[in-house]
Amino acid sequence: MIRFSPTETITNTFRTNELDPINHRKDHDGRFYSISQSVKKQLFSGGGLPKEYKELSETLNGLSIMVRKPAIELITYLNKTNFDAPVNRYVLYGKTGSGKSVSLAHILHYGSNAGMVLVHVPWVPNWVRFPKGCTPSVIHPNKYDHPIESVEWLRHFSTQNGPLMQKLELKTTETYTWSKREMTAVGSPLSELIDLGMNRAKHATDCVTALLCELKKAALSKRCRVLVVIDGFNSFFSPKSRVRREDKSIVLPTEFVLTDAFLSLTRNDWNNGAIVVSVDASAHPSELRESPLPRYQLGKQGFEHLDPFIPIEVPNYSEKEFHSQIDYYVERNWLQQPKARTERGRAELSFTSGNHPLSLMKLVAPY
Amino acid sequence: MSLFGVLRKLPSFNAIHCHINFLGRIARQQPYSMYQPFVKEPTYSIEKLDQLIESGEAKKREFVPVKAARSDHNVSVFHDELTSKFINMVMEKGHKEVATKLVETAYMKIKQMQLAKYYKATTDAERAEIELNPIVIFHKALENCKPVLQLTPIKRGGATYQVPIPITENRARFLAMKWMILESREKERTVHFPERLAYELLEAFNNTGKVVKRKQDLHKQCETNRAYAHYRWG
Repeated sequence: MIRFSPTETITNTFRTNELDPINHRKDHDGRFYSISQSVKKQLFSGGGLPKEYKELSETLNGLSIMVRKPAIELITYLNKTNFDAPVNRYVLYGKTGSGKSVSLAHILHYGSNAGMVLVHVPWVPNWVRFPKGCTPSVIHPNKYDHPIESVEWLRHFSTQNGPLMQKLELKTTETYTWSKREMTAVGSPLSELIDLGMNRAKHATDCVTALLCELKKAALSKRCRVLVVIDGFNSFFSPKSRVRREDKSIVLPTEFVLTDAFLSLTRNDWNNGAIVVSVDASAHPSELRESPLPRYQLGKQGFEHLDPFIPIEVPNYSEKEFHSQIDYYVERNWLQQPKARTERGRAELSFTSGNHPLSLMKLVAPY
Repeated sequence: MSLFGVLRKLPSFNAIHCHINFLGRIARQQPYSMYQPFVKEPTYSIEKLDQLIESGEAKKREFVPVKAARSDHNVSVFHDELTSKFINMVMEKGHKEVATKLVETAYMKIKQMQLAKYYKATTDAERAEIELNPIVIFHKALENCKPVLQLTPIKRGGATYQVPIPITENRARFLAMKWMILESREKERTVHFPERLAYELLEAFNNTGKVVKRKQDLHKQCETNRAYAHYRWG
């Protein structure tokens, strides 16, 4: 006979005091570490955490990320990287809602603590599916600019890397002529380049291209170490976008200037850095969502661009991670129903959610 | 042990099952019901079934025909009968999924609002006072909205009077739910049903708000019309 006692709980150590991602190891698997408000503001105010996850963290009075195997794997690789060798490309893949974006957020925090310059694109489909106004590029024929998105991205870059950029004092290696009167001379600080982009939306996209070029050169000449984190990378190779020409034909993402800039940065022709990218089925239109695997999501063009890469799967919760997640929800007073906190309740949640992180979050939300 | 395991132990439950449809559908005597009066409601809570088997009641019910299981009925730890009823009342045109989603979103919003207060509170005493469980809030809010009397129109000498009469439990529950839903549907364009419902439930939980006011207005009307109470018996 099934009996449950409303006071029965499973005790598990589900938190860890190790707040520095550099030190996260296998023992920390399935445990939550908290991120302070100031770090959250610095790293994620321009995006990077999924919307529902962010709202939940605000409701539960603090952002806590679960340390999971994909992130631990990446951290061990990044700690042991030979930065003289060409950059490694890591591709996170998995079902929608299995925790790729949150793992990327974890890696972003790692990069910030490790003193790496962060080049972070929070969610590429925002540029492809909801562009706020694409204009044809002046400098590059047949390509399209994203003036508003570029300004936002430069702002996000300067927030994330503000203190680090001040310390590094990187300088431009080329002259950039924007118009008859405007130019950025050789040897001027990169912050000047960024400020120009933020103030002049017309040149913002080209500023982004220039900035990424400069960072690549700086990494090559060992002046800084660069961590590139891109969520929804497969959207760069999407067959559709919402941008149309005057004759109503669709502009493909490969015809964006921003795409060229980031594809150039994700090539392995430089060293002293790392590239961590995620591919998600939801970043593609519904016709291309059959499989979550990298080769299918990237397509021929994307695969040839990224090959060789290290694929890292982000699976559903293991049993330990699942119980840890429920413990966290119980401790934060989010999972309220007393019956649900029992062993039988947990078994039901595990079964109905299939240990899928997003499904579990949605099931627990109303109760 | 699963529900099926329990039922298999009593072979007579299984035997009755194939006869239910036949017995239940001869000569409808009650209006609207497909079943004859002697057909019982199903017990689907595992706790209650355990109690029945332990106390020996189950033996007596072995040959009693039972109505078919509804799709709402389940042994989930999140199942609440009152919430089920409420979702059915929110539902329009048979869109159960939409109704469930609306009510569940309202529950989530209640939790969010209460947790905001909880994490702002500084002392343990303050925290203990804040109720976080949305289902407890829902039950208490409905209790606070249930009227004790209702008015019925009765004709005497050409004039129709609103006469206060006693109210059944079911009718009181129905009125409370109906008023709650109607109040939540009135809105500005930007505030949607779940958010409105969450606010109304929280206010009713604290014995304030429009729905409680409507109940109190009804009680006042009954009080003013108490002179006609004897019209109930002619």
